[in-house]
Formats: sequence, C-alpha cells, structure tokens
Amino acid sequence: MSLDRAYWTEVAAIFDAVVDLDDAERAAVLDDRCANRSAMRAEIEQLLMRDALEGALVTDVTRSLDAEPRAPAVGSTIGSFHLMEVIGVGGTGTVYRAQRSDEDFSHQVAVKIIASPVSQIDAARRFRAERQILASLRHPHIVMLLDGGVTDASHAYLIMEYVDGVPISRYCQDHQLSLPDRLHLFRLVCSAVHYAHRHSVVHRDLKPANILVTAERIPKVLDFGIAKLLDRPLPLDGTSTGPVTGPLTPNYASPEQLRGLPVTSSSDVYALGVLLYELLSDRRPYETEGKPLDDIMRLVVNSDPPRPSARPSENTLPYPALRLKGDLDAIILKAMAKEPDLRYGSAEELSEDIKRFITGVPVIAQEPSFAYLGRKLALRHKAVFITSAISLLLVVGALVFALWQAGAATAEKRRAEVRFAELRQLANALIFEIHDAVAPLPGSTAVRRTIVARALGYLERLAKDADQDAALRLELVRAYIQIGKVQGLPGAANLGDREGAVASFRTAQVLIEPLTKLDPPSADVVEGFVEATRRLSETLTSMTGHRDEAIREAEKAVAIADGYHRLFPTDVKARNLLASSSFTAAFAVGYPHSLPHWQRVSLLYDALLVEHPEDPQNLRNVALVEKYLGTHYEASKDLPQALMHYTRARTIDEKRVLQAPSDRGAQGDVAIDLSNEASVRWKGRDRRAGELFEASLALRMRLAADDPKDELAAARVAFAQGRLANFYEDAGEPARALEHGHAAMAFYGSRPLAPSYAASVAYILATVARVEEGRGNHAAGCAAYEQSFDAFSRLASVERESAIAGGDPMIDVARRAAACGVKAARDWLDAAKPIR
Amino acid sequence: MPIDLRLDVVALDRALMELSSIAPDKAKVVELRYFGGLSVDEAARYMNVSPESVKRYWRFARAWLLGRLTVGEVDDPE
Repeated sequence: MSLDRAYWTEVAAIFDAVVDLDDAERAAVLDDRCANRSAMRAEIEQLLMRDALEGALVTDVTRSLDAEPRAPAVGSTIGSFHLMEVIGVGGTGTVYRAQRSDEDFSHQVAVKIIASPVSQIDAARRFRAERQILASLRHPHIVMLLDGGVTDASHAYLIMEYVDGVPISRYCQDHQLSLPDRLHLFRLVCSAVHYAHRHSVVHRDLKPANILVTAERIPKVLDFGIAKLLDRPLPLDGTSTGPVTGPLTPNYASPEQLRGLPVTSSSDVYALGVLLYELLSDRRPYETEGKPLDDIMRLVVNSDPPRPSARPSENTLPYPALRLKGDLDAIILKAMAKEPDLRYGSAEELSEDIKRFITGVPVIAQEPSFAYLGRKLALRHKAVFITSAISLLLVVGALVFALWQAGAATAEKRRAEVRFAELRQLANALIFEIHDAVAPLPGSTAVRRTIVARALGYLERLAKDADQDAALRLELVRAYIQIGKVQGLPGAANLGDREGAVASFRTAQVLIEPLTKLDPPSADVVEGFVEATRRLSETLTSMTGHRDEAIREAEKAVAIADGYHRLFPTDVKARNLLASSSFTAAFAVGYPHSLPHWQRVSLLYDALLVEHPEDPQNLRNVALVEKYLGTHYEASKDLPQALMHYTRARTIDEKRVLQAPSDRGAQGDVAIDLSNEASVRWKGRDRRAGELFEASLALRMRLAADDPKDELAAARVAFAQGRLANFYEDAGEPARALEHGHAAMAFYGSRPLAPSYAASVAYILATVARVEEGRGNHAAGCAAYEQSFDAFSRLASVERESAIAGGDPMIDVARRAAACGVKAARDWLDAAKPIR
Repeated sequence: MPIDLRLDVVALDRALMELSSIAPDKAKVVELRYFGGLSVDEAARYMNVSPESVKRYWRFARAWLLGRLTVGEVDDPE
C-alpha cells in the first residue's frame, strides 16, 4: 500500500466513478483507467467489495435496525428442513425446531436464523471456512453443527443437532442439585470448552442460556464461535443512557470484551468463572439488569464481586453457602480475575483445580490480594485504552459541542448534546481517574506520557479548526488545562513533567487570551484564562529560577479577574476569580514580600464566607489562607500572630469535618493545622507541642488506615513520624525520637527512593544519626550519617532545583559522614563550593 | 447509534491516523460522522463542501477502513 496522497486521491476518484456502475460498465472503466496498473486495480476492487458489505463494522448512521427484512417464518423451508416451531429467540437470531419432512419426527434438528442480513459476496466464502472448523468439533458436550448457509433473502442460517434441555442454571435449581453434582456438571462443560480451545475455537458468549442440560443430565454447549461467524464484533446495543440489550450478555462478558479488546480463550475462562459463581451460589456476581452501559463497564472492569460464599441468605441452595468459603471462593475468583494472565491458563486447569478441591487436595487458586492487585492491573490496561480513547473523546467532544452551538437541527442537536455530555463525562472521568488513581502506580509515568502525547497531537490538529470558533476554543483550552494537570503530576521516579505542564498551560492561555479582549468578556472565558494562568504560575513557582515569571503570570490573571470584577462587583464567581488569582499571586511572590497579598486575599475570602458561612468551599478557602498567613508570621518569627492564624485555621477545618465527616481532605487539613500549631508552640518551647504533634500523627494514621491504597496518605504518616522524631530529639527524649524515626524509615525503606521522598529521608536519617551519636551508639550513628549523606547527594543530583540540596544541612551531615570515614562525603566536601 | 465508540478504539485510532495521512478529507468525514454523529448535511456545512462530496468521501473511507479493521484480528482465519 502506498502512502502517497496523490495515489490515493486517484484511487478515490476512480472508486467514485465506478462504484454505482454495473459489472460490465465497471470492468470497462477499470480497464481504461487502470491500464497497466494491476495493483491499483486490485486495490480498487477490494474497496468495491467492502463497499458492498452490508451490516459491516462502520454502518451508515441513519440506518435503523428496524429496516431489515424479516426472517423466515414457521412452515417455510431451509435447505431440506421444514421449520416446525420457534424454540428460542436470542440476541443473535431465532432458533427453530425443524425436521426433514412433516412425518420424519426422528430426525430433528435445530435451525438458527441469524437476525441481520449478511451480504452474499463475502458471507458464503467466510461461512464455508468457519463452518468447516465448527463442524469438526465433535465432543459429547458440544452441540454439533451440521450445516449452514445463506438463504435467498440473505439470511445466514445454521443447522445444528437438536437438544431438548434447559439452561444449566435452571437445571441445577429445579433439581436442587447437590454441590458435588453441580461441580461435576460444570467440569463436563469445562472439558467441552477446553476441547474447542484446542481446536482454536473460542466461544465468546458462554452463559447458562448457551448450555443446555438434557433429562439424562448431559450438558451440551451451544453456539460456539457463532459471534465470530457473523464477521462482526458483538454489538453493544443502546446508548449509555439506556439499558444494555443485544447479544452480548453483560454479566458474562469479560472486562476485555467490554472494552473491545481482542477476545481470547481466556475470555471463555472468565465466563466459566461467572458461570461457576452462578451455579454454586444461585446468584450472579454483578447486578447488571437495566443498568446503563457505563455503569456495567465500571462494575465489571473495576469492582470486585462479592465472594460467592458471602452472599446473604434467602438461600435457594440445598447446601449452606458457607461451604463455598475458602477454596471454592478462591477458584471462582481466580477464574474471574480482571487480568487475563491471572486467571487459569485454560478451562482444563480450572477443571483440575475443582478436582483438587473435590478430592481434598490443596487448590492452586491463592487468595489474591484481591482489591489492590486487581484494580492496579485493571488500571494498567485501562491506561493503554485511555491513550486512544481520550484523544478521540476530546476530538469528538469538541467537535460535537461546537457544531451543536453552530445551530444544527433540533433532532441532531439533541443527539449531539447527549453524545457530547456522555463523552465529556467519560473523558473527564478518565482524566480524573488517571489523576487520582494512576499517579501512585509504578510505571504510570510512561503511560501518562503516552496519553499526553497522543492527546496533544489530536488537540494540535483540532486547534487549526478553532480559529473561527470560540466555543471550540474554550473546549480546547479546557483540554489543554487537563493535559497540563496530568503532566504535572509527580511520578514515582520524578517530579512530573513540569516543563510539559508549563507548555500546555501556556498554550491554553495563548488560545484563550484573544477572547478576553472581547467586550464584554464572557464568564467562561475569564474563568478559563484565570485557571490556565493560575496553573501556569503555580507550576512555575514550584520550579526554581522561575519566580519572576511566575509572578508576572499571576499578575496577568489578577488583572483580568480584576477587570471582570469591576464590571460585576457583586457577582460571586467574579469575586472568587479575583480571590483565587490573588491567591496565586501571593503564592508566587512568596516570603517575605507576600504579606500584603495574603491580607488582600484574606479580605476577599472572608467577605465571601460572611455571605455564605456554610459553604464548604468558602470555609476551605479561608482556612487555607489562614494557613499561609500563619506560615508567613512563623517565618518572620512573630509567634503569637502565627499561632492566632493557625488556630483560626484549625477551628474552621474542624467545622468542615463536622459538616462533612467523610471529607478526607478536611481531615487532612486538620492534621496539617495541628502540626502547624505544634510547630509554633514548640518554637516558643511550649511542651504542649508534643500532644499536638501526636494528635496530628494519630489523625494521619487513621486516614491512611481508612484507605490503604492511598499512597499519599501513607507518605504523610511517614512525614509526621519524621516530624515527631525531630520534636523528641529537640525535647530531649531520644528513645521516642528513635522510635518515630525508625517508623518513618520503615515506610521510606519499603519504596523505591523517589526525589519527593529523598528530602524527608535525608533529614530523618540525620536526626536518627544525631540521636544515636548522642546515646553513644557510634556505629549506628555513622551508618545513619552515611545513608543520610547518600540521600542528600541523590537529591542534589536528581533534583537540581531543590532549594535544600547542597545547603547547610547537607554540609553538616557530610562533615559527620566524612568523620565516620565515608569517602564520598570527604570528596564532596573538598569539591563543594562555599556557601554564602 | 449502533456503533459503540469503545469497541476496538485502538485499532480504529490507528487506522484513522493512517487514513488522515493519505486522504485527509475522507478521514475528516469519518471523524465527523462516526464520532460526531453528524448528518451528511451538517458535515458538509462544517467542511464547506457539497453533501454529494461528503457522501462520496464517506463511502470511500468506509470501504478503506473496513479493509484496515478486519485485517489482523485475533483468530481471524483470513
């Protein structure tokens, strides 16, 4: 295939010219225009063939499924069989009982007519190949495929062995089968599935309705590979605002199937797991009835089902559910693992493990560290999916929104509106989920970089269209801000891609700036500009050497917000924008010149709070400003003032917690307040500081315990431990200092050393070292000094921007380490520049 | 709309990128109609071409994409 645009332009032109001609004319034109270019002609013919396919992957949007011709009815003939009666209607088609003639009752077959028409051109060919494979499946528990074809009316049909039975789940319930009997039945099904897998046939749609059990208790699996035979992926019918119908049964669909990833034999194993779940507990793992697709996806892909043994009673089982506890739970859940690699490698392995259980031998299925591992790995896969999905969603969202605004007709407008809302939601959810959930995962940085690169690529292309369209621009601006946020996230190995984040925020700013000049400016535009600029400024502030630039940017935001505020002085949003941009400015200016800024911010937020005293956002903002004011006074050594502000912050944050007890952010803020207050009190040598530090630590430990997956919470506990170690060292309680120092190191030691931790590690080890020396434990002290120096030097080399790297504390530690005989420390001292 | 955006997004994405480099107009139509759910007329307006052109582009792109998307599928005997 040539990548030459000119080539394809010509191909397209010829295609257009011949596509509606009849065969003879077509051949003539092709002879003419493709003379001596047989490769091109072949290419065009391929295209023509695919053009003729109906019901293909990319359908015409305006066609509705109702328009399809009806299927044959009872009494008609398919092949040499008469259709006698309908025995089932499923998502893929209708099944009839049929026989050779009106009298030949003995030779019954089941004929399945596939619901949607299939084009003759490809169908016959494909069918033949597939049917041969399926027909070769001969297994006592697989319904045999006898024949198949396509009717004149373009309906595909399959002729199968007729099975008189009921779905396996119903069979087990109706006959109240014992646990061993259910397991035995299930193992027979596994053998059938495994046999098919060995013949490279994946079922893709295993569920009780596809497994019939005869009166002789013989299970028969139906519909192997039927989905494949239709030459299309299983359509998931319905929009996300309606319940899911259609051939894909959500409860049995594996996470990868729901996400449209390739289906393998492992997906069948998953379905077997779900089946086992249902057979043994008479319940389904997920409640998907009537739920919209988004919810179902979230359930199956992300959440863990309740353990089979743990379902509440209302027991229809002839044995107690508790018998499932332990091994059977584990087996089922292993088969249902989100990550295919974690499941059984084959249906046979699953069956073997059940056999082990029956014979009383230990089973392979371990109790997985279920929640964490499952979610973590599911997320990792999800991130790859997100790469493309996000970029596409951003593109679509923007386009649809813009066009909707451009005044499309009502029906399309509504449809676009719904679509847009869905997509925005999904895009936002995806981005925020990255933000919150992927950040702490190892390896997530590379993933994020990919996501960001792809999304940026799309955005750039979209930006070219945005010249004329203000609404589109706004969307773009928002998208760039989101991207910048993702880029700026700290990762395990680095402090995030801050240069990238700056670039993204700047782009957002540049895009929206012209719109701020409009008269009057719109609220959305002002908000967009302020947000982009604030984030730009804040990112710059966190990078050393960019302070002036950070301040300039913040002042831009203040200027715009101020202008807008003058126009609408009582508007709450306008006031908030002014307050928040002033906040960013104060932040950028930093100590010591920031005081007037903070005071101004404080006035603005206090005024907002007075008007709406219960608004949690207002409370949070005021408390935050109080913290910064406190920090300022603490730094300028005005302890009483500092204490006043910290105390006020604590009062407000405690009120927030009372209002919303589950707000972890508020609780975290109280912990910060306690620590701040303690810090100030200790500077004034007030021994109450100890209890406050301890209270802060206790609160942090509770928060971390509430959510064991929250890496940040755990890190803060460690930090608080370090703080306490310092306090006790200072307060002359070395034993306690060591206790907390070691507790902190227990955390840091269990993680790869990240620059964000390196600083804390360096300081804590220095404290531990000093305390050990003080107690006369020279060896332990030296070891700690050496490690502390190591941490400091790693900090200095990796994070050149860190203000503390190479500063006084490092020199002190280096001296001690050198005295202990650490060569690297001696070398460093010799080479270190003198400090001002 | 019978198509679910989440299905095989990665493959579609790649195919679209390819299409947009060899035949950008056609790719644009796909984006607008497939993702945006726009009608022929709306797409025509957006792209500043005639509805006939949109239909032509759409037909070509569809045929082309089908070729891309059905190749290399797992378990595909072809």
